[in-house]
Amino acid sequence: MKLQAGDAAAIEEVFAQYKKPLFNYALRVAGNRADAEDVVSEVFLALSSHKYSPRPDIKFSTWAYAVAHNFAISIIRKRKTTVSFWFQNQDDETEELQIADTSNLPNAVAQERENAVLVKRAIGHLNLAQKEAIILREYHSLSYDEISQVMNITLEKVKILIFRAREQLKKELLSFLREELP
Amino acid sequence: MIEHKKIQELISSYVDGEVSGQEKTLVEEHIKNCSMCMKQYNQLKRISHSLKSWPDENISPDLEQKIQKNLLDKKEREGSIMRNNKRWASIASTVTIVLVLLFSAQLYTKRGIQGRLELAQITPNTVSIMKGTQGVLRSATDNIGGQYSPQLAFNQNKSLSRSTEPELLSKNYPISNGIARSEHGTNVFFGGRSDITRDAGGYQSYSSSESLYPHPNYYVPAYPAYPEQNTEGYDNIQDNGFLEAQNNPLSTFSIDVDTASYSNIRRFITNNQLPPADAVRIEEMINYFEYDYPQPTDEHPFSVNTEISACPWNTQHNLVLIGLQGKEIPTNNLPPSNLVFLIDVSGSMANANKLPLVQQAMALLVERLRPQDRVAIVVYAGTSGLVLNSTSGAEKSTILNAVYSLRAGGSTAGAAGIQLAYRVAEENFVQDANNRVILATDGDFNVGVSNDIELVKIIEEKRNKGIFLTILGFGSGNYKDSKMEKLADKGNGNYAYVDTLAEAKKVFVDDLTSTLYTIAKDVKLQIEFNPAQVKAYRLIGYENRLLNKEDFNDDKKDAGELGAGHTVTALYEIVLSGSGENFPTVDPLKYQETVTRPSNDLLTVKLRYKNPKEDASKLLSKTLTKDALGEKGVSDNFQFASAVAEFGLLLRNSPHKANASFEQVLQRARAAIGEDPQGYRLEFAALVEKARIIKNNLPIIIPYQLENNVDHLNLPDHYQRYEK
Repeated sequence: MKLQAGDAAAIEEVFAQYKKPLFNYALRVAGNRADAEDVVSEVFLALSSHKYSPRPDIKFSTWAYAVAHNFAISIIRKRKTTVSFWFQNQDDETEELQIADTSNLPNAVAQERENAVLVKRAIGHLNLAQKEAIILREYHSLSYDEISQVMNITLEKVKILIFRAREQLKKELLSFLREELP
Repeated sequence: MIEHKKIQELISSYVDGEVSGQEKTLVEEHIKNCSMCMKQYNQLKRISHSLKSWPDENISPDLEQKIQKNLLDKKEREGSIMRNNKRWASIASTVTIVLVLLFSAQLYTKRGIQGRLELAQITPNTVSIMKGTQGVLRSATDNIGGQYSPQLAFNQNKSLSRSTEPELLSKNYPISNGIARSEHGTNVFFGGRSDITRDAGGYQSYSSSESLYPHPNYYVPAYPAYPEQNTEGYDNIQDNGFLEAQNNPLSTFSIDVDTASYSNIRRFITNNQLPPADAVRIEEMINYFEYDYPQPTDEHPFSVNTEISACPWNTQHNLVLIGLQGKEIPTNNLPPSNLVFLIDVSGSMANANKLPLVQQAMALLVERLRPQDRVAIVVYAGTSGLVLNSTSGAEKSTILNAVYSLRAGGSTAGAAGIQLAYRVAEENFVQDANNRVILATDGDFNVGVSNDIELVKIIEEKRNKGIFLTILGFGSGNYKDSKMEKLADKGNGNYAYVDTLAEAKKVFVDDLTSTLYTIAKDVKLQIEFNPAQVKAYRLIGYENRLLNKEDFNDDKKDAGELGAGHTVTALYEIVLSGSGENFPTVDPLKYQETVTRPSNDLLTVKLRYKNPKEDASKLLSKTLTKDALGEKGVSDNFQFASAVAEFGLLLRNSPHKANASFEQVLQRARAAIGEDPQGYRLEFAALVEKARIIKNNLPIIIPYQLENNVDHLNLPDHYQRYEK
């Protein structure tokens, strides 16, 4: 990636390419849009600043996820101690509503939405590290090596995190998810 | 087992392709021999797959713009300052970051509150608080001088019956109401303090005479999801009573070839429920089954058969069976068809037992179409539209593609759809052909010209032009049985309820000719009883098919249609003269004398029908004499029809059920199963058994036949895949 600090055209290009994956990564990790939007703003502000610049020795996307990871972690930690009051139960209740809403939808769509809610909830129940690892793997197709770089942990740890995340998801989801094509 | 634990971890990596060559072989070798780990592998695959159902979300455009603007601002500032003073640049960027942070924090806080408020409006807590508010309000307004109007209550009701869609929620709170809303919301948010009376609506109702009533939108409590209400509609049916033959020697009714009631009942019982009494139309149950009457040999398109024997549920009485058998038409002699399918694709049709079943049913029919047949498809929901222009039966794939492209969504404007369908049918009208609109719906015509009478008018008008109407009912929960039966009746058509693919096959494949090809129309029956032999009689079923005695000879009076190969069966429970039973009677007439002619006849069946293209009716009659009473044994037809009738009496809990019992029904039904090539009679027996279990609260063991009633379908392979 030829991105040089301060190169507006390059930043724009990067922004177009990475805004959606980064936003969804942050959304799934943080669990709400407000936080996710913050993370995305931060990442792109950081990109244009001189403090952070992509390291030539790692893939740009990995670097971008790593920056997002750092911001996401710090925002989540901050939130935990300060304003968590505002967000209590918010997601839970939204989920209930979404389940109730499916009555008029075609079957397949309704089922898909219900599944989405169940998946959301199950992922929400994972601990932060497991959650991040499984999200980077399943939704962003990062290799274990890249995940270890993003999260700054060992490869062995990545394997274990993903394995445990899956075990827990299995426990929570397997009985709920309707039969799908194998 | 450490071994397994290790392997399972490896499997997780294996799924992601993150294993070394050695590990890969290890896992693959192990999986081959260890079913547990194979299962683990498959489960992880499934979990992986299922996670995909959480879709990516889109970033909001305003955030994009904001970020881009920030970047641009920063760039500009950097460009001008940086060259001179690097320190300024860093300060500027810090400031920008701080500003952005502040801005986003503000944004976030706003969103947080808003989200919170919207949620607050739907939490049960809020509802109770709001209810409290209403209580206070009501007493407040009452105090003002009884000026409390029902408006408040009305709003309440409206909100109770509304659906749970979020758009509706926001509609209840127009933007102009924003201030009151946030004020109220704040109260709620801070624990719903008791300063309720101070909030906008209540306060105004005290102080200002202009707005005596609280804002209509303000006190709409938002309720969480309500369970879907069952809004199935059935017309009330009163069992026909016994009539004394002396005073009422004539019994007149129109034939009924509908079968919907039986399949509807089957749906109920299959779902472990007994059907509501009004859903049970005994004649439709009896006529669901085919009986083995002889084919007509004379010039008439059908034969009339009679039989009499002891009444199984009341041995004091006798039961008379009257059976019509329509002439069979060999399939290759059938006239061409001009069919217009009118398919309800409203939101309510989305369930698996509705639109998907319609599609499967149509696929079955398309399979049977010949090149000379034509099919068009019209759908109706919020708007109606032509999906498939009239297409030859040779182009099966075109038709099937159109069928499977149908999707449910929107509300229902049945009337517009019917009009369009008839127009298409008229445009493609073929003389001497079977011109027919086939309506597939769950019967919910809730938008537009929804007036039954108007619909009926359209249908009658088209009927006179030679376009008939067949109605196929689907689904449950919202099923408008009463409306559909009436419409089909007016349209010279028939009406079937399709609950399973097996039923679809019965309607479209096995009974295709009788469903779609009319051989006689306006078929009326009039039975004259001989008061010398018959004291009283009772027609079983046909409650909503009764005609006045003078209607029989009135050719303008519409009645039922008979399809090719159709059988129609009616049962009379009769009391022979000499019985000690008393029936309500009238005083002897003062100015007339009734003289009975001596005769051995019990009754005479008179029948009127018209050929499909004629307007003058033909008459035929048949007499049943006392001698028939002496005949030994009963036919399978009689056994089975009486069993079905008895089952109907039980389901309706009829006042005339006497000694009827499920056991007797079962016994007779099983004895009379006969050839039963389609398995319908066997299924009936299973249904009775299940109804008996439900009725007596016995533990439910689902009868084999009911669960496997697709077994006898023997569908071509490409249909099988739609069955689980």
